[in-house]
Amino acid sequence: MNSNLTLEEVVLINNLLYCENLGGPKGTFLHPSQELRTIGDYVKGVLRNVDLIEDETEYSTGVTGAEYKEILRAIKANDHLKEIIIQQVHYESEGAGGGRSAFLVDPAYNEAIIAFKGTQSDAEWIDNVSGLYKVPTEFQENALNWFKSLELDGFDIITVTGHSKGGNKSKFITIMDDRVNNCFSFDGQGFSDEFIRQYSAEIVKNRDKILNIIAESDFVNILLNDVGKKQFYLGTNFGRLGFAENHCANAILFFDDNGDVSLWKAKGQDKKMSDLDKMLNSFIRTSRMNTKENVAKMLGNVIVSAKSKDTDGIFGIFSDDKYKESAAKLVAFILKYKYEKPEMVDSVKAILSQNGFNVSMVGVVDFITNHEFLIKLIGKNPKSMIRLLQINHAPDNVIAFLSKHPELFDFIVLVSRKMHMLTRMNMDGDDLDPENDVITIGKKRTYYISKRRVTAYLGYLAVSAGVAFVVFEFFGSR
Amino acid sequence: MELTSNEKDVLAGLSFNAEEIKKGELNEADMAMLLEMRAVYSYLEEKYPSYKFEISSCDPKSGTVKEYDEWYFRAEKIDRASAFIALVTEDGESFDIKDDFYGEIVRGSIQDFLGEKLGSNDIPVIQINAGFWEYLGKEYGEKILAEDVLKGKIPAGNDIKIFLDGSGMDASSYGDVVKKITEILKKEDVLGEIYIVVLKDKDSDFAKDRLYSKSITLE
Repeated sequence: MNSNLTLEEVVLINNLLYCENLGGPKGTFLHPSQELRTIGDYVKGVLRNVDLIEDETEYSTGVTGAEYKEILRAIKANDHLKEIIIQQVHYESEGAGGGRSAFLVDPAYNEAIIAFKGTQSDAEWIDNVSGLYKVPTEFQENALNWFKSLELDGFDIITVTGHSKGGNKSKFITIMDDRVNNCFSFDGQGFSDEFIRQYSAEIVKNRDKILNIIAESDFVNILLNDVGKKQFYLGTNFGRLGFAENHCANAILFFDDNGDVSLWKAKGQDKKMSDLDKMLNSFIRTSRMNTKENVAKMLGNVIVSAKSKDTDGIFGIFSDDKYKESAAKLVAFILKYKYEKPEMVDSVKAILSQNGFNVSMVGVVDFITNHEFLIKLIGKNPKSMIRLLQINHAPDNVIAFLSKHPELFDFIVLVSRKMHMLTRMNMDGDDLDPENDVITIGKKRTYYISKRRVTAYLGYLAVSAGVAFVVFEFFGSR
Repeated sequence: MELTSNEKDVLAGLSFNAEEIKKGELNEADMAMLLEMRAVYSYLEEKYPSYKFEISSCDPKSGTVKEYDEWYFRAEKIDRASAFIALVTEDGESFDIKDDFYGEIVRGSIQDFLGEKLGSNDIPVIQINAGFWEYLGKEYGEKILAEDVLKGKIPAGNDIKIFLDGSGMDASSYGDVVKKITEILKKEDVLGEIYIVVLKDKDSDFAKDRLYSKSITLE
């Protein structure tokens, strides 16, 4: 990697992309009128109206005016960043777009920096989860098309970066376009198994150019298989959004008394997040290909409801005809997964409680589904079920909640049935390695097979051959 | 429910119910977005009758701290990689809509006018870029006058960038040139943010070959 940007500068640039209406319209960084200004001009212009920026107001999700002031003052003190020119601001005009991005030029080192903003709205999750079953997604293709349209021939260094979905786009571009020298993906999600298999050669060729900058408790990067080197950083705080602030672009910025900014490396990923990462990968791998789209949409719906702490919304998904099968599979999977990895239930509980959810429900679902025979006995009789819960001292608020949502009893029965049917689980939740886990068969890369499967298959063959040999020897000798 | 193919494509990108939308089966949230999309389309058609538009996508406020939805649109025969944007806030039972397309109508005249004024005063102009910070509503239709925008009668938030050929200037004269430009623009009652950049020569790269830059505000 040969970028002249420090990691602090990369993170500051990614924060700039989210600046909107700081003290008025001139406070929007990704505005066409900023084109051909320097970052320093932008910051100076905003700080001129600093009194109009309200400290307590959230100007982008989780980031207040006071926090933006810190960010802008840190940039003001950075002579290198200030001289970078905003060459082009882009609003995606193709379908399924809505993405915003900037083409920046560092004249000091003749470096082109292409930066993608993450989209924050609920709609982003439609594309985020489509990464589970579409290769590539429309957002990724649009970003690549715009990148290819840029005049980049005269630059010595080409760097791409982005936060969240922007991070995923920058990784995608780096994999697909060999001209990229550096990629700094900040809390960006990964790619599906199918993507890793389809583009294994491209990934192996370009992955050394990718650095994933990740907040230790970020929850977006855990989606799917990551590509490139990962470095985890300490998060600054849990503010008004609580745990959700771990995904804010300023979550890893530490400011000292002089306003200087720094990042602090963490020892590794938050264990809760790595547990969740592995469980999600296992769940997705256990799902059949033809049901993945439904599973993905169900997960997307759950995440959107969870983001807004909409408990009713989550339980609405569990009773929705379209998603209840997939949702029941997910819950059944989690409950069975705990037999193999019991720590997972604690991690899920911790994540839910840090997000303000009532975790007693997890225990109740756990209890109910542990007693399959009782469920068969009780069937779908809510009154008996509630009575049983009362006898077992379930919390009052849970009983009240279940009494209000009789539709959930159907769901609980469905979960129990799915648990019974779920006999084969893929417990391998590690990210796929395109070099060691994928074998390409055929010149046109039409067929793929996982090396792990090959190993398992060879093991199976060896055992079978061994058994056959013993049987043959045993009976043959008689 | 009858939907155009454009409506189906855009709504499918905003909802988990893509398959139902393709069949014309909309849930409550999809229906609300469709009504808003149609309101934006009618607004654009009514405001700019000489142009044809296509809405390409939307960045909804749902899940963000924004109070408005942003609808991205393209205009036929206007070659621009970036989308135009219409901002929509709900105003009781109706929609309050503003857009940035008006800039496309007045930009050329403003750039020509300023180029002529500065050129005739021996300012070595290479290029002038006019931009606008504000989104304007239906009260300013396609007959909007460039002069009213330039002189601030219409609050567009003018942003004017002037790129100069510095090959005939020495560094000590940059301040004088800025002063002269300010005087010329003031004389013409121009309002807005003026950004002056001196480049090495007329063939310079606007990003890499800068000698000097200065921002001034004419209020």
